[in-house]
Amino acid sequence: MSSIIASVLAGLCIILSTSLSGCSKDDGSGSSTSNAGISLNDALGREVLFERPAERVVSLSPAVTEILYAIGAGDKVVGVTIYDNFPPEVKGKEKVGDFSNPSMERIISLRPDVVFISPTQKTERLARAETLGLKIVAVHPVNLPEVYEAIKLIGKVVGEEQRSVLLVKKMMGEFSQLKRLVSQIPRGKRRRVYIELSQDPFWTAGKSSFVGQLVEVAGGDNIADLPLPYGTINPEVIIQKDPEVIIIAHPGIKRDEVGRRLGWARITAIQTGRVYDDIDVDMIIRYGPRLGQGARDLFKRFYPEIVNPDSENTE
Amino acid sequence: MIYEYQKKFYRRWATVNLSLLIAVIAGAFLALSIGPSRTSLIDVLGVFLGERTTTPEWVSNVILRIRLPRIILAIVAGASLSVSGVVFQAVLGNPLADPYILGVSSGAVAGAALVTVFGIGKGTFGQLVIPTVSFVGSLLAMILVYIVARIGGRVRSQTLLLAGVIVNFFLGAVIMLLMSISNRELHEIVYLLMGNLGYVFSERTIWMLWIAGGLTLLGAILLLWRSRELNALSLGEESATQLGIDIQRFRLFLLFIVSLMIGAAVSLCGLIGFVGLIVPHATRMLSGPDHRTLIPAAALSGAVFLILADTLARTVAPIEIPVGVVTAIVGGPFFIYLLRTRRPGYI
Repeated sequence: MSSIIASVLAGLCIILSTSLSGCSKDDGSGSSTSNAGISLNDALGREVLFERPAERVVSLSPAVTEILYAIGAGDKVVGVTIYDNFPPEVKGKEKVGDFSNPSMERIISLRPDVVFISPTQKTERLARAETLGLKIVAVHPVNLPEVYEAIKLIGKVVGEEQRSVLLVKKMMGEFSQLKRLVSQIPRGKRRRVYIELSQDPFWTAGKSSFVGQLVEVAGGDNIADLPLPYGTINPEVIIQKDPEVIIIAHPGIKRDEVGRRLGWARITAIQTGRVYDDIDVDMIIRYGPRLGQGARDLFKRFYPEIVNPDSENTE
Repeated sequence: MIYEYQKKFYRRWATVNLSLLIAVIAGAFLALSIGPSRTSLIDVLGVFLGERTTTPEWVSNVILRIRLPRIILAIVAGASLSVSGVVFQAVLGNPLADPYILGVSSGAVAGAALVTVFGIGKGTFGQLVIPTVSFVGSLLAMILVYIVARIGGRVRSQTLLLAGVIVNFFLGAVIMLLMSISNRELHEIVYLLMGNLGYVFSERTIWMLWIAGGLTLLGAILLLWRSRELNALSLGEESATQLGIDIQRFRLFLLFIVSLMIGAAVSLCGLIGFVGLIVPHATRMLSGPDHRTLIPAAALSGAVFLILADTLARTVAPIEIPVGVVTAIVGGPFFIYLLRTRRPGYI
């Protein structure tokens, strides 16, 4: 019994850090570039110094990898996680493990100038890695402004600051274009949305997370009112709030099966057939360059009757 | 004199069990009317009295399809865990015995974790597969424990206990292994380990609740039927043998029944701790050590306890807490209290 409890506690710690919820650490942007090198504060609040821009990069976060490629630093990537799948070129890169259990040996053998981590790894392991001479930069944006800061920080580390600023501008542009479309819909007419990140238990994104903010940008009225960026939601609250659109952002269930959950049949989204399981989850849960596309995909599902935002994009 | 004694027994039996039954019903109504979506007891009455015109449709959906199955699950799990605790404490002659002591629960979780990690547990099919595999896992664990403990054709309660501890450790390691290679599925396994009653039933899986309920009821009735022999067994193996009980066969019978009951509960709600340990002890203070009263009383008090613990779990924080955490937080101090104020023969 005691071993079970111990394992539960261990698991709980892992969950609290791994799961998207995470700590809302400030993604400190205080950084300065001078002749003496690059100094920056990472998501763990530590100061990291670089003499020159990093040339060899290990990314333990698929989102960071996507950002690196988007700002033209894809060539510098020497190691990624087993979950990395975008852009397609990443397939050829060396895999160093998953983000919570990477192989230190393999990372060191790649002689990286910097290792990007999400601060889910235990801090002792991080400390040990630093005594081995690795430079660690933790990235963990919780909301959209923090995503922008994280992108700029990554740009600084690899010496692509300008392109990272451009990427942020491009993303902001994509969002404001959507916001323009959405602003034509009166507040009272915004569709109520439930976005499901996991079932058993039901796990969703609150308004203080970038996933929740994406829903808002796409004109959705998020039914979840969570005290944390991410968290569980009781099914009775879902039934009470009666979402008009349900987004299933996990592979656990197909859309037809959602309506068969006990008590769900009368939810408007199910009655009107607006349950979607076809969204590319990576585009909305990775804080990378594809968030704009993710928001457009959400918008298309929230308001299929309104003009396609992609077509407007091409003009 | 004997007549007088029997009358006293029946009176106590009826008082204890009837008042506990009333407590279960009251607790169920309380739990039905409380939840994060703010409904009242009047809504519950409205739903049950068929006056649906006054209550919005979502309210009856929430009460009948979300809360009611959950409360039934709490009753089933509470009853099966408490009764199994009673039986284990008698079979092993050990007041510290709980339903998880012989590794049945680790077997169930290892089974569920295996299915989850290898990605079979998706969709409706997965919703059926996970509980089924974890049920089979719990039975296999029990069979393994029994085989390990069987030395020279005999099983002694000490070796049974040791075998159980070893199998528990081994399966615990298997669970850890599965957790370390899992990623997205990790929180599902952790939720199983913490125990929670939020199992999402669909129209196609609700029958599992009836199976679990049926197994629990059947098990409790069979145990009640053999409760005189359980009384003899709890006096010690020697006295039981002198009373003409075939200990080996009786013990096998008990272990089989109890494994079915625990498997049914654990496969749907994971490891809810402390219920099977403290409820039997607390119930004994009410009913006395006679298993004829103790078994139904433990089933009913287990149900009340879990209904109330789950109501707390659902409502106390803005985010739902796993019920296993509530039972452990409430149960730990309560067990210490029992220990400090113990009376001989009760704990």
